[in-house]
Amino acid sequence: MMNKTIWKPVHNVLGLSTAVFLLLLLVSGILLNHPSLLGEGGPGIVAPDPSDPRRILFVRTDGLYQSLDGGGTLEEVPMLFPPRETSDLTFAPGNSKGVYLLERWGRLLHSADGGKVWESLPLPFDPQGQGIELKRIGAGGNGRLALLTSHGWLLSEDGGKTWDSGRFDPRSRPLRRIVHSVHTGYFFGPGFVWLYDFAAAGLGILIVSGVVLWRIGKKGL
Amino acid sequence: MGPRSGHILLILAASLAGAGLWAGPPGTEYLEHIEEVFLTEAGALKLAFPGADKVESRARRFTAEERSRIEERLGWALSGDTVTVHQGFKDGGPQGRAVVMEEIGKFKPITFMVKASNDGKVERVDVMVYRESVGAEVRRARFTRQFRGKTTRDPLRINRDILNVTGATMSVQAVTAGVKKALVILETLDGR
Repeated sequence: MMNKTIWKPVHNVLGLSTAVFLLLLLVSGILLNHPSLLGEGGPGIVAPDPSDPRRILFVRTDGLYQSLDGGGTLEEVPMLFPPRETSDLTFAPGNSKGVYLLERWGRLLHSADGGKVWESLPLPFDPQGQGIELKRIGAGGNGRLALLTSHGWLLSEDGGKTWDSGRFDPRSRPLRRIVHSVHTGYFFGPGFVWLYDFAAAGLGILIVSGVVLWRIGKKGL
Repeated sequence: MGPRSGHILLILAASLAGAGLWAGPPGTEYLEHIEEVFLTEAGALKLAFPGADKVESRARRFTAEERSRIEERLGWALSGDTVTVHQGFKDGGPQGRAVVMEEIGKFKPITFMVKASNDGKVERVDVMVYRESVGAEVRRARFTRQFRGKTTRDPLRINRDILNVTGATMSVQAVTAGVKKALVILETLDGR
């Protein structure tokens, strides 16, 4: 069982497989940390108009778009502050005039005219400054809103002017978010994402150079 | 591993730990804000209208129609009803117009003056007051000169016709939006 001729090929195959696996992890990790490198920066979010089946609102990283022909053609909706990293886009039920757009780390936007003019609704906390992720916005009738965040949820009965934050705790630190931020490097600060990338690139070079050195040694060069 | 490699690793580890402590976890609140006044209104007007014989300042209240038109063109609701338009004159001829804008950067408003020529092209953007601890790079000429010659027909969008400043994205967005808003307001007040 301790025969070198058996264990050496096993070691080589496992080593090479692990190297390929690590390279895949490194490259995909870097790309996931910098979605802009992937081009579109995310699939986008679609919201169909509840009154007009031909009209669709579509948001992606470079702005908000509208289609009046069921998605055949898209035209950009002008916005003074184009949305950044949208997490939700929805119409008020049965109302093609009321639209809500939620930015993952920023603002809750509202349009009362179907998406032509937007305004930022006040929130009782600062999502980016306090590290609170805005996940979903739900709109009911008569200006009722439910906002789901990483730290609980809030309700509004007056279209977002005031919020009942009984089930929201901005001081809590969800474990999943801590683990995720440690994994991406954001836990230590935005600059550390680049340090992680640098370390990943270094590890990639180590793997490749290790394989090259192994090949050179094998050929006896 | 030799002793030198060990020292390098030790220094690297200490740097990482130190930087980590300094940066803090996400959600760190930046409670302290600074306010830097780079230009008073009078100083900004002197830069906007060099050698002017006189500068007229006139507060204009938007009509309902103007407000609606501005909001529709911007795709954004206006927060105020009035704007003060400064117009410089030299040898009897107009030298363009300027408006003072205030837009929220990351947490606090940035106050800046946008000067447009008689035909609606941006001639100058000068940051007057900056109130945040980061992102003050937007006051540098390297950034503000990007706006020269821009009109309402330009997209005025980050990474399209305006280059971003790394680490100051929200301030860049605030100033860019303010410039666009100023141009649209001036053009709408002209009835165009």
